[in-house]
Amino acid sequence: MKRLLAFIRDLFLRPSARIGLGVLVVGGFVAGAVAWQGFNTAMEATNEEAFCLTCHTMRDNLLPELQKTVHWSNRTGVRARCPDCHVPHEFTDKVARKMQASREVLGQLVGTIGTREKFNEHRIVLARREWRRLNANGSRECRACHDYKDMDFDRMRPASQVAMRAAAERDQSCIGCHKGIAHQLPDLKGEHNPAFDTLVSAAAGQGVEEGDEYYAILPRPLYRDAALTQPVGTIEVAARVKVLETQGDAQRVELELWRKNKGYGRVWYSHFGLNIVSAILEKEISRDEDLVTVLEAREDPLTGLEWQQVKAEVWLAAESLLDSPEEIWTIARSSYNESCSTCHRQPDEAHFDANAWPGLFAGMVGFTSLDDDTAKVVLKYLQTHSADFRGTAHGADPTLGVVQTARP
Amino acid sequence: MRKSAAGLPAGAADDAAPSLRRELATFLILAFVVLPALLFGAVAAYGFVVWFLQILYLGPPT
Repeated sequence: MKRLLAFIRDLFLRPSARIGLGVLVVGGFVAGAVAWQGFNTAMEATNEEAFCLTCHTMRDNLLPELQKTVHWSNRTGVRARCPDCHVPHEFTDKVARKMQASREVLGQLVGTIGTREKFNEHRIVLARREWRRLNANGSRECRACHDYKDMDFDRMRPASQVAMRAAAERDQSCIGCHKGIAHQLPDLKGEHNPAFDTLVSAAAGQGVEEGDEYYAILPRPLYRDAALTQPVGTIEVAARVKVLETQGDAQRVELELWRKNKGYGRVWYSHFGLNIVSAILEKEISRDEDLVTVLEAREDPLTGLEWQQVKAEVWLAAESLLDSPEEIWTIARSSYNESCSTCHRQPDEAHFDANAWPGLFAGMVGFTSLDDDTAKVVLKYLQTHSADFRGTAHGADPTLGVVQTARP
Repeated sequence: MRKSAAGLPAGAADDAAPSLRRELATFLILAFVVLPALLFGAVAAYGFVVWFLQILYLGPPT
């Protein structure tokens, strides 16, 4: 170490004894020029599509998908290469992104996404990362080619005009609507929303008093016995139950819900006349009088259907309940705000009633990236905060609820 | 060639006066190997620092 320091000191402080100053300067100049050029060449070479495709994950998964899209071949002959979209174009962000790629190199070496199956499993993680990046920079890489200011809206199809003019006015990020434009969309159906993990841990810490009312944090199976071996159905998210007793890892709860007295009567709702699903029973069980007690029957004047108030005592796994649904609604509210506002202003929850929301929601949910469980929670949230529960037909301010129509 | 360099103790310069070949080798290795490696290292370090800052505080670039 000491010798190294002495060597460096000598190097800088002692003039060279044998080489002329001119040789040093010229040599240094040439070395500098070569290094500079080499650096740029390396930056460019690692920004080539050929470089991306040297790794088999890219060649086997992402290239064939891209080749099916307009970003690969089209009538104008302009095409996007991998780095055009996936590497920032400015120096600092570009260098940071290139260093970030060390993670991808590690993934390739370890084989985290070595096969098509493994790749598809991880796809959502990778896609989320890229969506987050594009959301943050307002889809800057897309807009290197497609910028709002250069768009001739009049030459778009009328349906596109409406959406694009509104997007331009709000300077919206392209990725908000155009996910999956160059590669397949991840399979969102089986995906797990990380926000639910906080609910699960909150429920694990929830003290449960016998005789009090609680809310189910997620859809959970229901059983006839304390050993949890004979399934009778499922409880839906945020359904209210009364806890009767706790035995080890199981809890006996009382459901007091409503059903339509029609068919098997296996779908149970939280309120009379409102299609807010709280539990779904097996069809062999739902008419079983040993399990289900009918408390009263009433006719819904709007549909002429008879509704029955029903009661059942069932078992479910412990640590599935919370004493207030507010935490569930917080997750639902942020999902609703985030997912629905990407394409339009989301209507006020109380703009529709509880029976109108399911149809509207089913028509729209396909445009979002909500997974099944989250979609259920959001629908439940909308229904329980709908006009039926706010007292007015159209919420506090009627203009708030109007789905924003884009101005031409 | 003069053997003692100004500003340095004469003895130090005397016993370490390098041969032309050795001095040339030092120069070439420094100019074409060590410094370019340092350049690469500095840029890589800069990239990593920016990346880590993005993870910790900054979030993705805007």
